[in-house]
Amino acid sequence: MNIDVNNLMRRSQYSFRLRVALLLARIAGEISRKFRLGAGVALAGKVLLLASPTALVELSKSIETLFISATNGKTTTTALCAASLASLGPIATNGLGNNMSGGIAISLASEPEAKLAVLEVDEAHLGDLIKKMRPTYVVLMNLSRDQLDRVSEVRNLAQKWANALYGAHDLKVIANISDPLVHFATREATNIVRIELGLTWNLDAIACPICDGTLIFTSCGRYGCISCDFGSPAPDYILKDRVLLGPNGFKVGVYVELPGEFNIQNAAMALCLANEKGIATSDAQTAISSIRSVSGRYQEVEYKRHNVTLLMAKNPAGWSAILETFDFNGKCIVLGLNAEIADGKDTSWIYDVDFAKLKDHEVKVTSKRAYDLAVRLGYAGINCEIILNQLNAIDSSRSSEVIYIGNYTAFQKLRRHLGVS
Amino acid sequence: MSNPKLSIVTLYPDLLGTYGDSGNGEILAARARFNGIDALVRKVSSDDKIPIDADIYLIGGGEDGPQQSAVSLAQKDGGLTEAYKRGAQILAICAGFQIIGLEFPVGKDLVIGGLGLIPVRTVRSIMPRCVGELLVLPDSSLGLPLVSGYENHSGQSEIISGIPLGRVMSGVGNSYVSKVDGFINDTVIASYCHGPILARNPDLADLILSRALGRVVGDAGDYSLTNAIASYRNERIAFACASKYKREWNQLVARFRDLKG
Repeated sequence: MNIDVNNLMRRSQYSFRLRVALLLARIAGEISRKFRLGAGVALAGKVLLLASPTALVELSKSIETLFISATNGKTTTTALCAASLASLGPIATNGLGNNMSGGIAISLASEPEAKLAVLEVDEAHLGDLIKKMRPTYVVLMNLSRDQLDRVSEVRNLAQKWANALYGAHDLKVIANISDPLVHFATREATNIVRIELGLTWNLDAIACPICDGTLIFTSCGRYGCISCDFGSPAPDYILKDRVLLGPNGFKVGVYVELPGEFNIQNAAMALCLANEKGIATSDAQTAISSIRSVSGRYQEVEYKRHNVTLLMAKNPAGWSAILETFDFNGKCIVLGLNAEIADGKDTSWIYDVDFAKLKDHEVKVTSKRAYDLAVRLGYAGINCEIILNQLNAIDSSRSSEVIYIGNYTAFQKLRRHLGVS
Repeated sequence: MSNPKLSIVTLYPDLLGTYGDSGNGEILAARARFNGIDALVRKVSSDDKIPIDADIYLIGGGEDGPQQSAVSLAQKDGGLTEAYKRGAQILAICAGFQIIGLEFPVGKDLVIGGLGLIPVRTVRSIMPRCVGELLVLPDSSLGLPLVSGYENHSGQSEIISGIPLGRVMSGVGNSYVSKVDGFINDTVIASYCHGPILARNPDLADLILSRALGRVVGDAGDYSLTNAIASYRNERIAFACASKYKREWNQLVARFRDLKG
């Protein structure tokens, strides 16, 4: 958060009420940071919206906004999109994952010079924010289970997206139609660019979202319902073998420094957005391949005698993707699990992750819900050691190479303790 | 003695698998294996026929739409009802519990008939959704320690005749008024506890195995797993006890808000 107080009162484009609200938010943020309650953005955002409920509408009037939403990969994709559009001038973005109304308002206020905002939006708040902020582009990636106890179940969410997009004629949707639920949510959108990224996590969407019939998937990720006419539509862009093909002979190789097939897909979304915005492909590609870590994710840090790779995954889709992607040979795997409000208080999803790959490796389970993981792994026949303190868990590893996978609050806490910004 | 075979069916994991319910099958099979019993878990998805010859049937939780499809498929199939009549063991959790009952609500104005295996009726509630830790003191006839789980449902279930799984120590369970959770008879164990339920309650898993095999099945897992489960249980039970009054207060506040609104 970086609201310039000296400048604040002179910003004539803002109403007096908004300026006062921003000042109060700044003070609240400072207090929160002083007492180490957190980064201060969450509290500042709350104060801002309390003092000026129309802040979002007002802040987004003078700026073009682009939304990115998904269950998985929205923070990374937002960073990639922001990078690829950087040649358009200063960009406001909520890089730290503050993806609800308050955090977004603070991000916009922190960059008053920006003419463009690339914003990660919480999937459950998408409809509300579209109404308030009138974005020009909405990039939709995937929908899977996350925080079962809090956000409505995944099909309801898809229906909410569909309602939000229906009749919103002034925005352009960029949708990954390889995810049946995203296709379901966007099938009636008027202004849409369809991109086919190929196979993604589809455990949550095996039943047809329209008639509950069975969806059959082909090996390349196309699908169709056996009892109604729901199925893959024709794409405008298609990602195949790390090459993104588009209309008018558009063709670009997708290359990222970030690991994993899912990051190739994230980058393809960013390249597609950049192309739609008229950015030269080579510029976008260069910008995207310069990103090596996103808010600490994928970062490698030294801790005592260990070289630790930090990975964050919030739900079965994310954990499965990471387990598939990385090579764990000769490495110690540290798994951190929490169940705070931001993580979802229900941990039963860990039984939907196949941990078999970790068999016969050195595995530690850590953080507040380490016991949940220990039992899960125990039944899968995987030996692990329970060490509740995350730093101790890393330090206890016999191998010098450590791969840490944590869910949201566990990851954030470790990042803070390691001093990774 | 040769290894006895045990057949376990996980019913419609594509419709009723929202809450990690496939874990229950994996756990039963593992605990059977610890006791030298070969167990086979069959995942019967919505386009398969339900086998009638399995020993244990597991029915998990799901969302409204899939729950509705699951019940109509199971009704048409008839396999589950036949297996129940034959005396197969059934573990029904959350939506599964509602499905094997008489009726349950879907959405705002629909009531769907269940399979009618147990005399339990589930109705719609204007109260806030029941979400959080659930702790149950099981009926003394079962000889089980506390049952711990996580509940997430809005339907309110009423037992018309028969006995519940146990008395609710913390959480909601079947309904805000009844203070009990689940339903039991000789072959059915039903509950709103997921988590999955058998991960937190190994004695319940062994009880189901014992009932299915007709002989006592005990804890024969390795030491580190038994230890991890004990720590897990202690931690969750302590948490449920500690959060009991906070939750009841929140419910009271929510109720007051409803009355005002």
